Amino acid sequence: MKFQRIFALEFCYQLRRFATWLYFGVILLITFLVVIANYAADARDGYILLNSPIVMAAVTVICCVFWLVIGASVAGDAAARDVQTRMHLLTYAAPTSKAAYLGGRYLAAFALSAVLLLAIPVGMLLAMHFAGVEAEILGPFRVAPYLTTFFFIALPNAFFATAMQFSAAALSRRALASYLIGAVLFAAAYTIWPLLEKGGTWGNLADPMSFGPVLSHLSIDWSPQEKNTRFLLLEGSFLANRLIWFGISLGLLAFTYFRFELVLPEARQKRKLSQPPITGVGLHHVPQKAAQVLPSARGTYGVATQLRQLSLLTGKFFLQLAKSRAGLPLLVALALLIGFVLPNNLEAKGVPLLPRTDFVLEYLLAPLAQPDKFWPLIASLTIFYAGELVWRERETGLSEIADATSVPEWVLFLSRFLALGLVLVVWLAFLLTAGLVAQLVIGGTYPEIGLYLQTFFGLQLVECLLFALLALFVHVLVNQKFVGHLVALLAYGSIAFASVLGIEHKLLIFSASPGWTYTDMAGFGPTLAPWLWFKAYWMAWALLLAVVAVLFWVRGRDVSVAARVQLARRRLRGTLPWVAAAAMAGILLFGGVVFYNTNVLHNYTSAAEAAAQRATYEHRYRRYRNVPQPLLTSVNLRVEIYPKQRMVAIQGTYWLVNNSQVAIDSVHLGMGAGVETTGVHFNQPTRELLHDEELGQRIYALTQPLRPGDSLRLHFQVGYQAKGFSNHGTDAQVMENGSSFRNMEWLPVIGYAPYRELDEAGARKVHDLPARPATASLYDIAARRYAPFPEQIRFEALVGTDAGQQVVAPGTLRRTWTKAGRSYFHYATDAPIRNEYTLFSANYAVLEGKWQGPSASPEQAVAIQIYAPPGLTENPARMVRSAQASLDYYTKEFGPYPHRQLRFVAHPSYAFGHHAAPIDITAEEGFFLLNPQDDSRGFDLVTAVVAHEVAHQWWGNQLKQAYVEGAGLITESLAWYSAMGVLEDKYGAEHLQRLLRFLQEENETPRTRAALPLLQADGFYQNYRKGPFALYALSQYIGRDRVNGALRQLLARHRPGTISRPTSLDLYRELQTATPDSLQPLLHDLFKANTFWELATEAASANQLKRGAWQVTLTLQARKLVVDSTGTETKRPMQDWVEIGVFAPVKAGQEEGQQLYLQKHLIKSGRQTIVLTLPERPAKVSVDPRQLLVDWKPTDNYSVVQSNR
Amino acid sequence: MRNSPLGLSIRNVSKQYANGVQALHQVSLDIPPGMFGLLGPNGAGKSTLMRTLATLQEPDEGQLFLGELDIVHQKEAVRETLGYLPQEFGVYPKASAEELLDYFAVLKGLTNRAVRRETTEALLQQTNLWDKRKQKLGGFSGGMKQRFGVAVALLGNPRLLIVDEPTAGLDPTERVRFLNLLSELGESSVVILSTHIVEDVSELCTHMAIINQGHILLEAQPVEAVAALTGRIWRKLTDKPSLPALEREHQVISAKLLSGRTLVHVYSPDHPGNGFEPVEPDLKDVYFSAMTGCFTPATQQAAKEVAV
Repeated sequence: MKFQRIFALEFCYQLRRFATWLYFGVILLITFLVVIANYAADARDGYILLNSPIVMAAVTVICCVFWLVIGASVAGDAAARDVQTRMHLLTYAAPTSKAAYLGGRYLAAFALSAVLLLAIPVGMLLAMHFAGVEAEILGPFRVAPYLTTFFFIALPNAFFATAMQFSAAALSRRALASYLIGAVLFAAAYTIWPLLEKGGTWGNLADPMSFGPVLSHLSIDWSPQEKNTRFLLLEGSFLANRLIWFGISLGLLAFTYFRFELVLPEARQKRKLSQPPITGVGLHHVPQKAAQVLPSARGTYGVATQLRQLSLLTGKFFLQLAKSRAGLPLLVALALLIGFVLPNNLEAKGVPLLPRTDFVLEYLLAPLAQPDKFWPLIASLTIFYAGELVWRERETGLSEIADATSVPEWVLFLSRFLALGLVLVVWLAFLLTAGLVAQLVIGGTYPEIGLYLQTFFGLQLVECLLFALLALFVHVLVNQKFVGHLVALLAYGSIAFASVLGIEHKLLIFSASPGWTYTDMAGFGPTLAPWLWFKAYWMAWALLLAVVAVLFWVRGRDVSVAARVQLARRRLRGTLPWVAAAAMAGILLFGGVVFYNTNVLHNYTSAAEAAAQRATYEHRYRRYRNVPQPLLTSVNLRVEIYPKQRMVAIQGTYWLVNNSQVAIDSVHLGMGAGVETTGVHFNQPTRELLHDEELGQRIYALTQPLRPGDSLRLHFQVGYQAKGFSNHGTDAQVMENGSSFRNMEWLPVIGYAPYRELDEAGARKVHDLPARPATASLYDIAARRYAPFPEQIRFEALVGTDAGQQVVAPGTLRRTWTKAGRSYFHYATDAPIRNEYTLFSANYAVLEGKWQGPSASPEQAVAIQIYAPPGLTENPARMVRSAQASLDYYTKEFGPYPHRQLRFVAHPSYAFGHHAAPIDITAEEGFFLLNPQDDSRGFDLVTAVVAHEVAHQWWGNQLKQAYVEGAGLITESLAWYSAMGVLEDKYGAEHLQRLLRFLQEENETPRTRAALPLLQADGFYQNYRKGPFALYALSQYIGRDRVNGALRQLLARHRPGTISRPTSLDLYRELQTATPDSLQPLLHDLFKANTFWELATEAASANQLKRGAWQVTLTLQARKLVVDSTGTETKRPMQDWVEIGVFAPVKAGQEEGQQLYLQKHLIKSGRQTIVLTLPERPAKVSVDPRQLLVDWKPTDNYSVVQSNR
Repeated sequence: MRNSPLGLSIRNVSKQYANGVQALHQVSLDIPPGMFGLLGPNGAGKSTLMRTLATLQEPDEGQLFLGELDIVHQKEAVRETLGYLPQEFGVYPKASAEELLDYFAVLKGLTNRAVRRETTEALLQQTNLWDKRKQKLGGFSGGMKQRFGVAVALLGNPRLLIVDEPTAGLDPTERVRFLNLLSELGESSVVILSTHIVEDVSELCTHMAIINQGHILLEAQPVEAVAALTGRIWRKLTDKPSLPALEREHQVISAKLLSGRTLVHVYSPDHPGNGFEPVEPDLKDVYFSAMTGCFTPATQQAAKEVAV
């Protein structure tokens, strides 16, 4: 009875509040937006059905995580309102049991949260079926997924979170505790999964909200079929997660029950100071000093006093925040944690990095609004601190006294802002120290203190302060603490996800700006100026917000809107209007400068407009795609680069030849984007038929048609001048140090360029373009004719740049000279290159090596040149060695290297990748910082990657693949496969094993088995991991020489510049020729079907025979199945050769036992027994020990041998 | 300025809350320097008036002046001379008295460190908190907290001191100590003390007003008001059952238990007869007379004329 009454009172009390319904509306709105803004787009691109159960589950977990903040308010209020309103004096004294009191309150909070979370199914229903979503992206309407997502996800989440939040608030007797728990759960949802993804089970269990696991079903580990039909049911690890957290929640509630006492909070603590006895105080005792007159000191007023008050108050508020448990102690802990994990996180693909300051900074610093790493946590802490600063006095009951003092509102506001700013300064100091110490501990680099200070306290602090001001502003204006938190978090969310909501211009997103970058090679480059202009604009806004906050600062009891507006009007006098005017002037001035840059100097296009432009291009010009065009055969450039002025002037000449069978009457030219192309003329009379400035397309009619075999010369001038900045920041191609630009972006392109088309199905539909696959089908014969920039050209360039910089271009450097303070370089190719090249100008440290073929003359030597960022020598040396080894191996196995140089050229950036153009391979700056020496796997990724990139000189540059499915198999897969050979032959089998293990790491990430066969390979996993392994497996079955022979044939049959272009089918044909009949099925299974083997040992025993030999009996299970791209599994009869390995016991100091036996056995489907006789005692038996066949569960392939003597 | 103490004048001040409660209704008062008592039952509108005077609220209509200063429009200037002890206030439980007093001293413009130190020390001694100055405020008793509040209110030597129900909840010792403290003030300042305890006013105030349901019932000097009632208050010891009959026949202004019987005070210009005996009136009788509508300004006027 009592329980029911307690429950009913709490439930009805909160249900009647306006805030509760506001919360409901907010969850509804978020749900609606997540569906419409996020998943509807994916559905239009054909990835999912919008109302499939897993999408609804994903929407539910996302919204549950947002709900956490709201739930904190509900649970915290139910648990701690009595103490905060001091009603506990009455309720605690009532003859109520603890169980009824806590139980009633908890269940009421849970029930309220359940009601609030009903907004999720309601929101989904509205968004999917009542918001005009087209029927094509929806499956049939079903009630079941609404029920399962609500009862399996939302309700349990509410139970767990409410249990934690309620317990925290009940035990600490402060509603605040539940807010902190909510924030922790929020952060956990976003961080646990990425951290524990590799150990999937732990990730599944550790997150009470099941945020990561559910989202990863959608993104990676469910097949398309499952995504559209499968329900997220209570099974497997999901069930385990629910049960574990249900148990933990019950335990926590029980703990709370026992720990909680219905006594006054103060009474639980013993008084530290005993009251001194009152000594003979008579009734009319007059205090000793009372005879004295009262102190007559009066306050002084004026600006000086106000400044003194400002500084004193700032200090007091700062100390208040700093001393609280959620203050400096928390920040110190956070900084320690970050410093502690930094060495593990400063890596790429598992390889540690040399902790150079710029990369440490890149790891540590980020815009606050970037939902990445720990900064969202700092943002939510900032919101929390702001709430405390605004509310502390009022919650304590001191506000009336303080409000009646003569401190002006601006001091009250500004002192709090400064206190919050100081906390953030201290946080940055902690973080800086953490980064610095971590950098020193890792060692190998010298910290640049100046750069640390500049970026932390110059740049990052501005980000922090802008957001702090917004948080304070929201709290002042909203004037309701929890609603304030909620509004501030929503504001944060809308800043972070503005682009998803369709707001892209950074003039409209608070505090937004293009990011700055700093790398050792390029410095800040041109990235700082746009950052500063945008921030100046937002600082002006912040000033205006501050003025508004001062005007609406709550003082006294009257908090009705009318009263506050009236007060604000009254306060708008003195200097405030002037400050507001200055702020507005700043907004106009800086906003004007920004707008001039983004919208006048640059053509501001939103993502939608950019898509529309691509669609227009296709609409207008696709009809010309098959019009015969002359072929580019030779390029001659005269280039002047002015890095300081960020300017480039190019005079170019193209030699074009009609190699078609018909006369050509017109030339179609696509002009480079972001440059000015002028002076286009031919060495024949022409007429400009079309000049499309918007899309940069021109058509020239030739007065005299160009007959087959005839040639034509095209002259043009291209001018580039960096102009201010756009909404995305500045164009970082040409800058003081580290300039580079490519022909594909800047120079005229002949004919229609299919790569400019829209690929996403949804966008194509919106723009009325015919549906087509994003990548052309392997079996689309017409598509095989096309590859981007396939022409084989002779290239010559004469490039000038500022003295002190080096220019790199393809070909031999014929001559360098200086003239008028500028350096000039003359490059020319000795053999044709593919029409893809980059021109570089920077200050490099060059390491040179040489490679000479075994039989070639000295002139045939290849110069290996590493243009590295100065100061890093380890990796360039490694790179030279690897390039030499690679050239050795590839020329022997695949055919000659046609050029006389092979270069790696550094490009300033935080990235680690490469781009392998002919001769000159672009290497991102981060690659030079990789430190394989400290890799605990003992794996040298640098050497392996260089071998891979050099292989692209064959696979991609000599063999130019058609732009269809499976293109990755004959470029990336072949490159990795080739690199395996380099490591095996030149570095030793152990290195190959490490590379194989490295490539296999990717198998540990859970992913769906649904996929197209390798011949239609698409995506990273197939191109870079599965493909190379299939080739390796084949080489282990039929022999490496046979596979390499097939590759040689492939190259020979597809000489550069010939049509039709090679596809994976051509590779397959060569491999078929090389494979003996007995292994043709395996070849088919590896490449032509998406095959999985499920091999498992069941038991293994050994008996010692009389002569001392051992007889091993192995029982194993085998199964083979084919999975199609939607996820349908089909069992296939198995009759395959599989390796069986037997290993001796592990000796001390070894990782693995010695291999006693390795032979291929013919294994069929089902259970079978194999008997082997071995000379030594076996310890372990394994089916397919080298994992040559695709088996994603290798752990059951091993069995320990039971020995019977 | 300091030499010419200024009074407070309140002109036709009305305030209605959003929930419809008319807290103040055309209130006008003239409050001279010195101690002024604002007497009224709970919910009479005392705190509303006090908060309005303390610049924390704005009236719907009417004006308030402290000397030349318009309290509504010149809040800053008023706050410079204001001391306010609200009816309810909290303290930071983990701060010491000294620390928090120092904080308020800064808020009140005592930014010079030496002056501030001198002032806070003096006030802590004055309020007899000197020994407890290092103690955390969380451990303070109600009286100690109240005295701390006075110390805060007295910071900066205010010309207008507003003390809202300061003695409610204090034990007799603390109350006396507190009133003693207040009595030190009020020579050159306006001190307004709101209370529902008549003795507070009678012991301290030179001027007073009685307020009920937003109306000022009486504005007077306690001594004069008591004098005006001389000969008009009568008492009788009676039984509880006969009380309704008495109330019908006479203007009963108060009835209280005395040793198990009921002692009734009756207002009557003439002898009410049968068993009533005259009483020397006190301020309580003034209060009850006013509350029951027997004592109006007119009465007082009449009484004055009689007295003259």
